[in-house]
Amino acid sequence: MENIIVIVIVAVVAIAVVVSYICSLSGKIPTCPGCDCCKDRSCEKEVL
Amino acid sequence: MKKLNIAFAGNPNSGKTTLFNALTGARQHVGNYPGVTVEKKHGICKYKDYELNIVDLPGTYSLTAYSVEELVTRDYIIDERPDVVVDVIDSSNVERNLYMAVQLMEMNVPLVLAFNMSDIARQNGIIFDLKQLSLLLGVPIVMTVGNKSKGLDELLESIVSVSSNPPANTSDRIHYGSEIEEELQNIQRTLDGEHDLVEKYGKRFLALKLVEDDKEILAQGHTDKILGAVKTSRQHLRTIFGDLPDIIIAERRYGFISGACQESVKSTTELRHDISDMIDAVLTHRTIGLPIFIVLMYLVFQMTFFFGQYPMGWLESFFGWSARMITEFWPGSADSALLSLIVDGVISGVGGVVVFLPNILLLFFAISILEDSGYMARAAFIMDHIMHKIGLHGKSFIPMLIGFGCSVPAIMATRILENKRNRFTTIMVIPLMSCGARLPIYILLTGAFFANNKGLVMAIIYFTGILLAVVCAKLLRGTIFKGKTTPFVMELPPYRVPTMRGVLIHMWQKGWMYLRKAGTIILGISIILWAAATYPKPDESSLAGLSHEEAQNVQLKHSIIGRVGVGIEKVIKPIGFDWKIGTALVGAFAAKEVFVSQMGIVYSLGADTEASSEALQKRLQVDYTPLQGFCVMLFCLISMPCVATVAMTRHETGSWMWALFQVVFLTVLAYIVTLVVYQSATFMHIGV
Repeated sequence: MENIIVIVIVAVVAIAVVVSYICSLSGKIPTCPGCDCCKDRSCEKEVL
Repeated sequence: MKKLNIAFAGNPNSGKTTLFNALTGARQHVGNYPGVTVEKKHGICKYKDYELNIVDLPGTYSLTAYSVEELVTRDYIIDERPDVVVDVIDSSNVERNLYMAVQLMEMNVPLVLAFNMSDIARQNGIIFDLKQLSLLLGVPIVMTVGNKSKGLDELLESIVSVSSNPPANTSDRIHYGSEIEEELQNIQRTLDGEHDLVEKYGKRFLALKLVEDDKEILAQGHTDKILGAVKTSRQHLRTIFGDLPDIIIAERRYGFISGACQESVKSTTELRHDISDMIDAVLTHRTIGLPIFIVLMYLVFQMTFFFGQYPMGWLESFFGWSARMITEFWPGSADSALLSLIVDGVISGVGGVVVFLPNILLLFFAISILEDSGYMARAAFIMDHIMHKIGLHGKSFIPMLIGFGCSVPAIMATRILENKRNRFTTIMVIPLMSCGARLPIYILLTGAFFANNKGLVMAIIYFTGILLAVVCAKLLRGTIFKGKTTPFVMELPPYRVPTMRGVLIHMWQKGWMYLRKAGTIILGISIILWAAATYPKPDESSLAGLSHEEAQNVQLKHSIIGRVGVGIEKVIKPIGFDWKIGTALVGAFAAKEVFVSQMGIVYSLGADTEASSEALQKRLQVDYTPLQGFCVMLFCLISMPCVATVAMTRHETGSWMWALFQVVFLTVLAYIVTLVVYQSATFMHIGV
């Protein structure tokens, strides 16, 4: 039973990580960490 | 004969009227501006096929509408729309006089700058690089001596030229800093309905004056929506800067002027007068500026280590205690897979990263102080000389500085660079600026191998990154991204005492980003890496008779990650890495911090449950040499950036090719540099 729980956790996490990276690389989700480092919300603006 | 309306503006005592008299002679009329007792003089001047109707506006220091002269001058320029405005500058006091020129640039009027009294400036030992200054400001400049009628033909020629070919938009030449720019954009968005006012003043100028609380502009009957937006923006700016927005904007104008003058005005005698200038004389000095920057960064790292060690110890104790408690009260058997997942995977992996949070907070606390005080702008200015030499502008160093935090927003920040070649070059080298995610790797390894020189080694790593970025940029600008650079002004805002609130906000933003990453992607990857380092398990019989450490090694080698590590060992052996480091490097591609969590997982599997970086450091000291530790830091600094950075490079360059190029270029570079360092140090018996 315990092994099944471990397998399910690892599988779900692995899928979530892979999906999030695929989305990130393909631009489906914003890559901006939201840290406000750039301070000008440049991610919301058009590229010059 | 073509007629042109020309307005002469300028500071009092700039020689404006002398120049006006020299041009118009006796053809003058004197009157008053309507409704005020301010004298209005206008005269006629004929030049080639042109008849110039010149108006000598009242002498003012600025166009802020505080005095009636300022108001008259501004209204005349806005209402009468002269074909050309000539701003007469006292060349011997150029920085103060350029303040008005900057305001005229904000109004986007066809402008010519007459650097008058240039003979006195020369006597005072002031030398102008007019070509450079004109390029930086985006307006033509002519040297004149009004009382000797020198430079008049050049001035008239320039006026005629500007009237037929006005310079490109000058209103957005001055960048007021990201916070103010953001508020200006917010206000501009609300101005769409005010067609007449926008037509009259221009959207950016109108927004600027509203943020500056200009009574004259505010009284023009704006909607509640606009006034509400202005109030919110002013309050927001006041909270951030702890001062009135109009004062901050004025400071930014002087910063722009100061930056432009630093690049184009040389003085053979000492004319500097304010405190900022006196500090700049030392901090941006050509010879000692860079060493001061290096020493400051070294002190920042030392401070990070010294004050960070205490809260770091508390966090380590907390995670160690958590692991012990969970193990002690676990209802199942001690070799439970779920228990191992929680203790070895989650606590070792995530805990191993979270313990460095105090260092991250302290580092960004110090960097925020340097940024908010205005020093970081000077750091960029110091680098300007070097950047020019490699074909980039100092402005490229600003995204690079952001790269010390995180490469992703740094790549976004390259949008301030108008030149595509400069921008792409900067994007390619940004990952060489050591981001916050690499800090845990350095802290772990410097603590293990360079306990007495932690700050020094860390500073060496950071400056190696900067140096490599400079060399690579030079290489790229000379080959793939060949071409000319465009001039920019490096703003030098006056020094300010940073507000504690502002510094704490910036520090917390970085800390929160780090924590959020630890709780999401690093948690996920730690779980996957734990599974990959645990399964498949070897036969019990193959572990029989082995010591605890030997059994741990056999188990790891048998696991998926162990096999990957062993698979790449042949490639990484020449640079001093074994299969364990190889497994951690693979994980670090997902996020750099994972290197530390992976080492934590590798060394805690099957061992005691202490999630302490000190325990990990002791294990590393046994397995590796200081040279290997240094080479790991070097490789992590240079090698391929994390997935998020690759994604952002693709987004900003619009091409997978450039993203792939960055990954391959940096990884090959990392390999070559590490190989050279490892092999030559081994040959010379250094750190082995």
